Amino acid sequence: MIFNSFQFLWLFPLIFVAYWVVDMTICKGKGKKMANWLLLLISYGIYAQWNVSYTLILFGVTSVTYLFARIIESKQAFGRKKYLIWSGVLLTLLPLIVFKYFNFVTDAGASALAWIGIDVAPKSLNWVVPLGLSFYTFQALGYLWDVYYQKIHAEKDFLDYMLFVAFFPQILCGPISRADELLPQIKENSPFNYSRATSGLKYLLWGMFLKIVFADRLGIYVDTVYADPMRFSGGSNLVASIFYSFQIYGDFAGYSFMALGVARLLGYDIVKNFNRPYFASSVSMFWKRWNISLTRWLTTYIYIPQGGSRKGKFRTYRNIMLTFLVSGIWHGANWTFIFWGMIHGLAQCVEKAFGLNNPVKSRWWIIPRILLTFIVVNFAWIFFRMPSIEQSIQVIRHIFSFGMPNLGIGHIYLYLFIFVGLLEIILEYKKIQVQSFVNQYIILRWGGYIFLTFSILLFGVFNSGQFIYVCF
Amino acid sequence: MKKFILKLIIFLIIIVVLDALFGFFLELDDIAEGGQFEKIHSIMTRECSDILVLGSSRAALHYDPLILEDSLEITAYNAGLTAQGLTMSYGFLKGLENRCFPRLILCEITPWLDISKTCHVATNYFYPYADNKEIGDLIIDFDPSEKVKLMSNAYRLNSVFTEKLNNPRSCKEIIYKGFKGLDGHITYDNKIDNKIEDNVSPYNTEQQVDSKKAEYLRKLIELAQIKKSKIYFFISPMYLGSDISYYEKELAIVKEYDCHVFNHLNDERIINNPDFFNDVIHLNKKGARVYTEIIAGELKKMIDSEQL
Repeated sequence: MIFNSFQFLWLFPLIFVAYWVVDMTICKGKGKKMANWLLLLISYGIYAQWNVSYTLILFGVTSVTYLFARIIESKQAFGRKKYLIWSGVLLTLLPLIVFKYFNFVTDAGASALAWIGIDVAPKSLNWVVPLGLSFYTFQALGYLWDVYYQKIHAEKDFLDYMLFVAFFPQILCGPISRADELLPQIKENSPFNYSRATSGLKYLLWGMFLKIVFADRLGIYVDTVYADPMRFSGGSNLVASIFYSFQIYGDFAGYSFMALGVARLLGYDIVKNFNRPYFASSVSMFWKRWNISLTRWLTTYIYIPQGGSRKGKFRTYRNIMLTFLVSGIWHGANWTFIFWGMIHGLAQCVEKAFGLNNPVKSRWWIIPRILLTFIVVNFAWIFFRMPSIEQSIQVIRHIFSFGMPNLGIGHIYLYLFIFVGLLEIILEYKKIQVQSFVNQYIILRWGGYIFLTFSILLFGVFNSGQFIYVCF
Repeated sequence: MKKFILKLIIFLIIIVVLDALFGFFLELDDIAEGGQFEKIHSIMTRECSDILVLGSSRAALHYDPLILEDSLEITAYNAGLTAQGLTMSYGFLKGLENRCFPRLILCEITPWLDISKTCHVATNYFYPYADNKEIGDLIIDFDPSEKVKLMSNAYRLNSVFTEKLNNPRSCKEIIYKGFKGLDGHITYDNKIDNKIEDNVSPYNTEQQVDSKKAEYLRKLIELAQIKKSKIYFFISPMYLGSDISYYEKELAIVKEYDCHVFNHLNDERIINNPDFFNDVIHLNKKGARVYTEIIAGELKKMIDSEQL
């Protein structure tokens, strides 16, 4: 069930009612067991809807991490634990490696062999990558590492742990929750909270607007140009690249806000994955605002265990590059993603070398820095979007041919940018969250909700387009 | 929880009431000032010509109704629709069926839009007319969930408002008799042309036929035959010509009904002259005039021989 689908509109209210009826009646004062069973059933049911057999992979990843965490915790000797953790990690990663990277690895191997004169026909698997595999695998791996590092105790209740991995609002596109955030919420009784639920609805509405109106409208222009970039002028390619930067933001942040909203409506708080990333004044700051849960994961389980920034400049740069290599690989089995990751890694190394990674204090200096960061991020997104590095370079070269756009830029884009841009600038300046729609006047507040709802109805793209990040 | 549910219900009631008011006060005639939507609105509510041209942008841009009217001495209207195939054309015929029906239907064959799975049928153009049962059925046939969504008046006008907001100038543009030719001319060299042609033909002999679209093509022909209209199929020229094998699957359907096909895909009077083309697949005004004159002559002969 994708949040921008028609199914969500009728199914989620039923889920909401069923969950709270169970929670308030059957579970009243007796713990959350029944409500959790229901949520687990719903989560697996929604996942099975896409492909029943792939629920086995979800169950497999869950079982492996659950068992290994229990075993690791029961072992005293640290040395033995090391073997166990690596066995657990490899077993957990196995589906990801097979489904997502097998073809890439065999193709790369065949190319390498061809380079030294050995021709081998690479074997390829035509399997569809299970939805959300990268997200729930990383979430489960994070839990396993946390148990290994003794940050948390291994979960004993398999049902609760299953729900932690399969929790439906976040299984497809994240955010990647930490066990110490979500598991306690699964266990503790949390009665219905009015302000949490209303903030959930606001996040849901804002996320829907970002996805259905903002991202999907921009996507029409982007898809048209990038389907055959050479047919369009350099100007159109430049516009498409900028639109794509905002499309992917609207798409992924939209999903994350919807996930947050759905979770809050069910009484759960999950991590807020975006914080107006294009206001970042450096690439390092960008990653503190973009896909926050992934950045946190990579920092905790890749960057810091490698030594972080504690072991000299060279090791720091190496660790940054390694972290962003993993980030690139995580996003997809293609050299374009690796290259994209490397650009981000390199930009951060340069920033660190010149001391540009810290927040800018001067009000006048911040705008050029934001623009510079956006330019770097924007050009990196071209590699992320295009199917090959060659085509990405072709697009970039074409952009510098400086032609005027030959694909009409509809007025709707202008209005969308003005509306979303102004809103985000105000929120950034006032340091408040969009979900607040803070205004003391009920007319203005409700006017805002009605405006967003009618904007979705009148200007939304209603073909249940997949979220870009579902592919990861 | 009570407060939450109550506020949610109040919000939903406000939305429903505003949506109903929106539908009540909005007149489609006032919104349809010009451009593509005015054209669609005209076909669905007013149009009553003897000749109706149907098909994609290749139909919309290649058949000048004034030339057809002058040559055949009956009224003509071009109902070609950019990026849409004959499924949408079937909707047009259904829209005007109870008002009047054309005596002569000219269909441009565009397989990648008419029968291929690659392209989407933009039934959203028909949302404002969903109260017409046949049109409503067509929309729901492509997506059953639309039955519920179309209860919203605002949703019904989604594509209209987007178009108006997106391109206010073109939404006021007057399109006379459904035809507005292109002014450009081709500037690519042959090498690039061939590449472009490969790209703009997202179909090949291996194309996957969309059974639903094929069914609507059959329905369109059957409807014309029931109404005793003459229906002819055309393949207009492409720059430097193209492979007819692309068209075979659609031609096979057309031939099931013994419909005559005028094939000008590789018509050497037109295809080698870049002055006649706006781009590889579209004629410009000059090309459209020459092409329409050619087919008008052929039609006249055909009509005379068949004593239409």
